[in-house]
Amino acid sequence: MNLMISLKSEFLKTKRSPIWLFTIAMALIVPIFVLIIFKEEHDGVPSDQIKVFSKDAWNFYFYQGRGMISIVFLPMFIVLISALLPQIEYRNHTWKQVFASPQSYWKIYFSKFLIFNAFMICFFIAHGLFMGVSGMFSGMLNPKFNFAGNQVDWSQYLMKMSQAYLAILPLATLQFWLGLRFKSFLIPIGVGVLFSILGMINMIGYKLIDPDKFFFNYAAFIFFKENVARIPYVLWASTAYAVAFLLIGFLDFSRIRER
Amino acid sequence: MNNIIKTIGLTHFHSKKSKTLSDINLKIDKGQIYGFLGPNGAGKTTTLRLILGLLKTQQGKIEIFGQDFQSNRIDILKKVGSLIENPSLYGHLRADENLEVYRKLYGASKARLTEVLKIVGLDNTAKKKVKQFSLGMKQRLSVALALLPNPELLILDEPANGLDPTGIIELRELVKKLNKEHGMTILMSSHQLTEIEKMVSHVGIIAKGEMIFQGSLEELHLLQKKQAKLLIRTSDNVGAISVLKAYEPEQLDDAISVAYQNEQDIADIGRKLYEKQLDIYLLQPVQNNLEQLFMDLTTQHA
Repeated sequence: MNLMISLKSEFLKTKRSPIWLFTIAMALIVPIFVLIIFKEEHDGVPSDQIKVFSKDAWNFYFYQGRGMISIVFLPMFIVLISALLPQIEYRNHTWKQVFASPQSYWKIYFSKFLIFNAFMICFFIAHGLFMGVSGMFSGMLNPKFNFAGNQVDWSQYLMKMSQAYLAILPLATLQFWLGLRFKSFLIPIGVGVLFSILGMINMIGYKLIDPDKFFFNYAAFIFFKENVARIPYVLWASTAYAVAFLLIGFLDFSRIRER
Repeated sequence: MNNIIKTIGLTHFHSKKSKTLSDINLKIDKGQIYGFLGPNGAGKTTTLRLILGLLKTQQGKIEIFGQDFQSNRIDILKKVGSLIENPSLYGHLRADENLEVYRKLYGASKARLTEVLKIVGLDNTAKKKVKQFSLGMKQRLSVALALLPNPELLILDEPANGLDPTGIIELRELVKKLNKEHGMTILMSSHQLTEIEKMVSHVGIIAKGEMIFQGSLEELHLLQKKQAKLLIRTSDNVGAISVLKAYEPEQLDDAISVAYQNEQDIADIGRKLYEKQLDIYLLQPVQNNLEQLFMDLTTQHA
């Protein structure tokens, strides 16, 4: 039996689930926020940002949005979604039926992991689309930003989003494992919030440790321009962390004594 | 291969000091409807969870369809339908969507999905989500899910839970039909003998994690007869005990109790007492149906 069948089964379980709505809502926050905060004028005083915007409005707008999701909203989304997804099984008491069905443990684990990734990708896509719509509205409301005279550098955007995806993977795989492991969603949320806060403090507050050594810094690390030279290293380290967490998680999942 | 399920020395510890199962040797042959009986907490669900691989086997061995479960888990589960404890259903999905989640995993056709919904009478639930179902409807949908793979072995843990009397009768008829017409071997647990005695061919009784009886329903009836007691009070109970030595008499407070097999024995006992000129004040068979036997067996063991 191929993985696609398990994947389809997992996908069907999310039908009509509020998780889809949650993903869209989370992806909407930053586009609405940037639309509100970036204005030509603040209390009748022209904004300092007109100069920056008029040169490269779209890419600057997307850059700001990417910064907000990388540092705050993407880790938050990962933490919450990794706790919510396994609750489909826990809340409905369906784990026993899943394990009594003819699927290998790795198919159960990886199909769930792929669905989890599908939600992440959906979040990225929705964020990009909403940023585009938000940018259009911003252009209408703030003609001096000169959105009409600029274009989005799509290849740059896709590369940066791919980097953001890779950089968040270690936290995502760790959270995915914890979400499956514990019936109470408070444990994965607690651990995830702790790591996210540590990452934020270390990247934008007090630099306590070498940020490129620890996975919880990576999502924010790659956003800052001064770290550009270290990005390839961080992305490799991120991939290594993700693979390690994924394998440790699977070993643990396949050895659970009681299902 | 005649044994569909065979467990050898199955022993399970909930924790280091708490033994849940002790040396369980289940033997279920092809075509049987096996009633797995025991009071609440006796170890029925633990045994069934072990058989389905929902608990890791600690001691002993499980063979299903003549194959070792551990090394043939997926092949075995393809041919097993199960309902363990409470209904395991996705509340936000419809009845047909719940079955669709598992349909391809079992290699079942869409026609089979419609068929099993029809079998349990849930083919007209339209767009109703499962969370809006009554407990009985959820239980029936769980049975439909267990039937989806058209299994060779059907494992039902307390399937009558939540069903009204009509539902229980329908379930009984369904179980018999599946066994007779489709040749399914069925293992079903219950804590009430009366609930399943009309459908099972074989019975296993478990109490405090130990098997205390295993055999056909006829063998259980034989045991019932062996355990039948007659309560007697005469003008001289001590004298009566010596007269009825062959019937294993037992002295009670103001009466004696003897074992008997049939009505002929009762007549013979009466005659013997009469011949010894003992006045008979009481000659009463103690209530002894299967339910009483089940109660006796499980409480004696406790």
